[in-house]
Amino acid sequence: MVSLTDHHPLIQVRGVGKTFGRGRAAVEALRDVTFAVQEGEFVSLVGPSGCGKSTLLRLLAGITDWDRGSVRLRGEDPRATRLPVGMVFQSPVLLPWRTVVQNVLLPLEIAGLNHRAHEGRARELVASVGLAGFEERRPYPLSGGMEQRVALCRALVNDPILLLADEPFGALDAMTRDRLNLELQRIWMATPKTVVFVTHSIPEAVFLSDRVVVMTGRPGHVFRVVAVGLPRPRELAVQDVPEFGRYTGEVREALEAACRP
Amino acid sequence: MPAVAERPDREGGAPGAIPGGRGRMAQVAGRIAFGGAYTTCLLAAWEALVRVLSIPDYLLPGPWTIFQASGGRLGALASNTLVTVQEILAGFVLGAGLGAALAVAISLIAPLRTVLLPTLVALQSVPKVALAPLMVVWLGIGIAPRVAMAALFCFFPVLINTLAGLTKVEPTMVELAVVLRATPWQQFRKIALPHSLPYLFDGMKIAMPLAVVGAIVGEFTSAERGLGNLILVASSQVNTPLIFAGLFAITVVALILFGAIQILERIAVPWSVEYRKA
Repeated sequence: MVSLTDHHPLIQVRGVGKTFGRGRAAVEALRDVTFAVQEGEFVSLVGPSGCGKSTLLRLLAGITDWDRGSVRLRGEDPRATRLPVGMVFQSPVLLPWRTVVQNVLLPLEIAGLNHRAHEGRARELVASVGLAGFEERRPYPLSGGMEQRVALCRALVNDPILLLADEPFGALDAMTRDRLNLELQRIWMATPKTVVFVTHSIPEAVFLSDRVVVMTGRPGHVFRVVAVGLPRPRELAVQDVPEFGRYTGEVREALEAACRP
Repeated sequence: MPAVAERPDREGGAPGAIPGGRGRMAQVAGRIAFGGAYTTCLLAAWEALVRVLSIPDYLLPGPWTIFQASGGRLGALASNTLVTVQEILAGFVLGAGLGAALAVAISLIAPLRTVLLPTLVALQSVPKVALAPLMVVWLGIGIAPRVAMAALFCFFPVLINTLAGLTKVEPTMVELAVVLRATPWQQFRKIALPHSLPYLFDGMKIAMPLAVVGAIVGEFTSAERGLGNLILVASSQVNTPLIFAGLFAITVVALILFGAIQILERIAVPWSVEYRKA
């Protein structure tokens, strides 16, 4: 493990800019974005819709290129790195021809690992998110919450150093969402990993995160970073504590200020 | 943290339960019974119409006359049907196989999409029926020109559908592959190829009836055997009941072959069949 010092953050984003399209149709998604995420940290990105949160996450995942600045994962280019990175998308993106376990095993298969040897781990993961008994089912009869749990297992199966989540629970009902947030916190605390979590829910961001990065509207820019000092593990009841309200208030104020022209 | 599994939104409760398992047999039996009754009524109405209006057999024979004519020529009907089925199957395998293989090649090799695909689309605009005499010149008068006609008719729908299945993978699935650092071959093998299978079957469902058309057109042009030939000969003798018997045989063949594709689809891509029902 790399030492957890400020000098060697897991993620280092410096002066990053990204523009989609050209000429009059050009949309500047990100402008001079700078921030760092330490090893083992849980960081949320919040901001008005269209502020480039998802774009930023895609840069970290190595899916999208950037135009200016630099993005580094442990000093490596995220587009070229072999570091294991897990990603949970807004939709589950399960392969409908594969069973739940086969979907979870996909990253290992692609990494060329003997997935038979890891099948036990995949099954454990599936059971740990409450899907025991559904291992051999294909995704089609599963509910949105169940599918997103499978997607979470898939993102975790190769023990990534970094988990990227793009509003993963945004389409779910409040109760399912709470439960999945608890599970995510448990998984994050159980195995050391770094999480960058995009959300548009302020309470969700405060509940999960060590730090909340508030972004401005288009072009996206880091406006303020709110550190959340609530002790862990956090129970759902923490949301009723006045301190929790102070943090959500702080994020909300920052968000409102960020939206002001 | 105790996690409680939600119930699935759609059909099926307990793990492993087959959704809608019960009642399915009854449903099928009901449909068969309805279909049988409906067909019987239609045939009876046809028979009644022919008799009441005393329509001569050479114009429109009734079902009973056609049945009798079929009975008298059962051997000829059977052997000619066999020939036509062979042509259809050979042509289908050839045409669909070539279509699917070319779709794979075009999806993997970008230059082919810009060069080969437009050429094929242009060729597709040639009315295929008009190619039948050419096939005779090129391939002689054996079974080959009819197989070629059936293959020609099958080729394009399978090519286009399979190509769509291979290339129209959801962008998020492609992003997933990028995050997982999948090689182009892995993307093809693990995502594009399985994704294309339902499209391939859609293409084959379009192609199978067309293969029948191709074989019959081929037989009209050059054949001493086959159902197309039987119909042609019966027509020259104004043996209308036998024409109808031939039509009936070819229709049954087409229906059975189409059903076979559907059964094959259920076996090969059960997930797609489930997915569409849901």
